[in-house]
Amino acid sequence: MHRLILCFLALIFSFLAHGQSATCSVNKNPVRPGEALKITVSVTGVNGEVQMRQIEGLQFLNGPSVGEQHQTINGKRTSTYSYAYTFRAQKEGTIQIPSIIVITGNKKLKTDPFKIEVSNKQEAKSSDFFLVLDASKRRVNIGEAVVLKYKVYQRYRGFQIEGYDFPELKGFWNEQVKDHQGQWSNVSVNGKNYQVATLKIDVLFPQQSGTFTLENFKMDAVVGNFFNAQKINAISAPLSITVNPLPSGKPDNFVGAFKNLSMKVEPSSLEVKANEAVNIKVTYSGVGNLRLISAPQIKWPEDLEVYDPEISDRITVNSNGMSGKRTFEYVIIPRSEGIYNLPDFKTSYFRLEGQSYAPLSWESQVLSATANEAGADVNYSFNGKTDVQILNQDIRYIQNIPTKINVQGSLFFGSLSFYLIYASPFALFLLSFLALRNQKSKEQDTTGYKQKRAGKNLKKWLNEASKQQNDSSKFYASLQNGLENYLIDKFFMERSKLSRQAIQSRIQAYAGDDLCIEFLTLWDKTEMARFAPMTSSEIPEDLSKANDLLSKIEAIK
Amino acid sequence: MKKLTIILLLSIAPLFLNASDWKAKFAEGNAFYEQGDYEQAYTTFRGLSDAYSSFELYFNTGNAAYKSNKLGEAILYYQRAKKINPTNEDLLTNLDIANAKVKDRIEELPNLGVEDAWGIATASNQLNFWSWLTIILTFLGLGLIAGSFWIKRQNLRKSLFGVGITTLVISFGVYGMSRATFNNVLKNTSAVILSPKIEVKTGPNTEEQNAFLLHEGTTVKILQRIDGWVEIKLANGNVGWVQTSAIELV
Repeated sequence: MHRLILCFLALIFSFLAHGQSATCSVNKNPVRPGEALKITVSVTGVNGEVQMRQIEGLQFLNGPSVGEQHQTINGKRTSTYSYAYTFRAQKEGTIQIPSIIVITGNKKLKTDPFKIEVSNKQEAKSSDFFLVLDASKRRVNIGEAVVLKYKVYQRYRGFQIEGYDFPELKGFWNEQVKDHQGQWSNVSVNGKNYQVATLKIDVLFPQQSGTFTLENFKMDAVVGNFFNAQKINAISAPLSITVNPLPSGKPDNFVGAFKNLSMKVEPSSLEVKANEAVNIKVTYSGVGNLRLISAPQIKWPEDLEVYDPEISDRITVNSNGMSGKRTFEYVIIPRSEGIYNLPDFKTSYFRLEGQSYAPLSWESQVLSATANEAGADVNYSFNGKTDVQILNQDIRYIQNIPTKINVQGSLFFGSLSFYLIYASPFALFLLSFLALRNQKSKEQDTTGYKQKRAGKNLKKWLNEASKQQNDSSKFYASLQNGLENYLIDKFFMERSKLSRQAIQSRIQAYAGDDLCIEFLTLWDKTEMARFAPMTSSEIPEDLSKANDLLSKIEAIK
Repeated sequence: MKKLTIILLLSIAPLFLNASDWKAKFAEGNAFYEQGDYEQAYTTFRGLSDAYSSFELYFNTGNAAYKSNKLGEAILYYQRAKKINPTNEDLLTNLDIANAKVKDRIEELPNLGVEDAWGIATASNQLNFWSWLTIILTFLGLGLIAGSFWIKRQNLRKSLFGVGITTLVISFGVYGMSRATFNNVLKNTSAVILSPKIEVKTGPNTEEQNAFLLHEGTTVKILQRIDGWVEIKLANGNVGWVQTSAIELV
């Protein structure tokens, strides 16, 4: 309103001063003590030097911040320069803003003085329409419920709400009371009668510590009748809420701050068959922000199949805050028979009434799973085995009696018999090799060998001769050959040197005179037979003589 | 030489002689099984299995165990039978059916065909084949070499010697196969879990952390043993320790 008047005045002055004028305005009036306000001096048509003065009751903060604005109206260009100064209102009372002088070249422009009211009273309290933020508590702990009511006070006839804004609720978990219906009722404030209604109720749970200011609860309304309607608006005074942090020593597994809280665990059964599901209900009930309770971190035995819990809430939010219960329902399935230890669980909450941490816990319990009946494999498909169809088959039938069986631990390989058999070819090979070597050595030792064989050879010749007894010449030829070879082999004589003297000397030396004479007699006879035919009558006698002689010579060692 | 022959014959004798009472016992087990008295059949076969070893015996022990709801024992005996004859179709089918009932589902690491072939070649039932083949080839090889020494004709002698040496070298290779099979038969490289469920530890100590859980019937490989504890390896490559009492070597 003031600004409007100022503008209007400025307009008049601008005419007077040939388009040159200076105005002074303030951005808010009234202000509360300690609040900052901005005083702006605007000069139109010409730029000049603003002579800002000390103002009693206001503390200078900063300025001026200079702005410039150009406008062309009817081909005439107008420039407006603004100088903004920021002050802080110091105490309650009325502050006189004096006339401020602006020096522009040769002229002095003066602004109009005005008054600022500094008041701690709510802006609209004195008016016929005001808004109030009504908190149940203004000093709370983290997690403690604050019930915030948005109240409208007015004393108009035909009051209609056109629109409203609610404050931002930073730092709070907000639950609106759903079934609230605002109704006008009569109330007396400072002796005046008002209509009051609660527009909305929120239950706030502070999430962090600090001081939070709720402001800008605004409302636009229309009052009056159809012909004489008037728009009015109001804004609530800021409301500050101080949130204290929770005391130190916060335990692990902490679920939050509650007026009171209890926890219980209820298994549907503790004795089941393998593959049967067990429901385990964990219920928290109490007064406070139950929605922030998360599923308990339970260390289930590793071989239990545990599904994520299903969360169900029975929570009421009303003007007393939040209360009710939250249930976590676990489904667990023991997949094999045995004893399972359902672990104990410890958690805690901050008890607002005692301002201390209170524990919550349950004891460990034993779940026993007994074997499923044989063949009841219904749940195996649960395992996600791919080859389920194989379960419908039966195993193949037993084998017939085998023909052979092994005594445990008796193996052919590695046994003594194996090694004996395996060694035998090596032994035989060695023997055959030795035999071969023996043979070879004998063959190489010719003289000794021939000497040994001389008697046998002679025997062969004698046998040959005996077959030819009918033909005396052949008989004696064979006999001579035999004797000749015998001499060569036995006495190492050369065929070319077989003279009578040589034979005599060798035989005499070896076998003595008697045998020598016998041998020479036989030898002479064969020599003669070569040139003159012999009678066959002496053949048998000579043969026996020869045999006799041979055995006698061979007998000599 | 005569004495050696006698010793040889005496030492081979047990291979060809049979105590006939195992046949009666075996027939008794089969009869129990046919009547549906699987528990009795299992007891009978199990008793025989402690003294004897044969594919059929192990197979039937496994069947009786399976039918009397002893999954771990069934798989143990099927595995023992598989060690003797890894290609028998009846056995492989029954082992698959039994394995499908095991709670632990372990993804097997891809197996190279070479490993299968080696497993078949070194199965227990091949041991006597390899052993006799070793002996026959040794006889043949050494015989040919020895024979070649006696032969005067240069060409024939050379070729006989060459064939003999080759046969002997092959016989050494076959001896190696026999040895590998022998080792395979004696060495227990795998085991079956017999406890209903068992926590596998990260080290050979009850204080160690749980590595994973295993259930009855799972077949594991044995890596090493330290007083009362065995390091096992699953088909999917996981490794951990269990107490010896919880498993039975195949």
